[in-house]
Amino acid sequence: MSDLNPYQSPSSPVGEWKDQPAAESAFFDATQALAQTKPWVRLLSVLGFLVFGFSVIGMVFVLGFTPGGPVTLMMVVTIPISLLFYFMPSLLLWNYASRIGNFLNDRSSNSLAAAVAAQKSFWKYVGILVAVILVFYLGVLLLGGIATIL
Amino acid sequence: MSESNPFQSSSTPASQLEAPSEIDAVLHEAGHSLAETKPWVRFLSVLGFIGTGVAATFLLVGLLAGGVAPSPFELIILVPMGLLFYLIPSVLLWKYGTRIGEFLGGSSPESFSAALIAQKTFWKYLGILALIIIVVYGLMLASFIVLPLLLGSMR
Repeated sequence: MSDLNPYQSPSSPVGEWKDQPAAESAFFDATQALAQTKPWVRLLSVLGFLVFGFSVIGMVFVLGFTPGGPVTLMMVVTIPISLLFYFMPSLLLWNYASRIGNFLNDRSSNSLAAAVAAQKSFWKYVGILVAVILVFYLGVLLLGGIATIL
Repeated sequence: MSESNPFQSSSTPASQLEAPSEIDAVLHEAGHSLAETKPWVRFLSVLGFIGTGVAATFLLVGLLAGGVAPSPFELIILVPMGLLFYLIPSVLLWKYGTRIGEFLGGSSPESFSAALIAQKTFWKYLGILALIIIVVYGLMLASFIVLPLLLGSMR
């Protein structure tokens, strides 16, 4: 005998909202969009971690050959920059992908809100970072201009 | 005489009003996050547009001045790269910001989905771009390692 139940309600191809048929139909497209977002966000976060890892390994490798002096200073500057530019955004993207995964598993409104909040954290971080860089560049330009005039 | 109207429909005290539905609760909470996302997304997309504009201006000035004009080969590389790395991501981010704005204006499940679809398009674009770059780098690396070996073995 077939296990097919002709009276079963149609289910979403990416899972079902638990006990919330209204939410399932309302957020069907949103759920699909998040399911399709997850692999790309995960890929980009893994690539970011790899770049960070390579930059740290590269620095340690260079330091191993020439201990002390300007290389140590370069490392002191490069590693925090790598942390800010590669590690932190990758971590936030990783968190976003994980929150999407949690939502796809439990289909709860809380986990959907958590996923949307996680992407907000990423954009806020990147936006603040870019604003700080802009201010830094403008400061350098201003100081350069003043130094030229004086 | 009492002012009470026996034909008036029964009213519900505020404390007994129906709690907002699950859908409204999700839209409300996600709306807060999306409202905070919008200015940053707009800011980054505007910076992308400015970057594209500045790069295009430098290119045009270089071409018109003639002195430091890029070669046709450089143009073939620079223009598509400017489009791929700056203009298209900025347009996709701008669209995401617009969809968030539409959602904040109406707060419907449809506009919420449209905003999430817009951000999916952005991430998919960046992911595909990253994969293409990896493949190109891989091919370049392979050609630098494999080609000299092949040429060496042919001698």
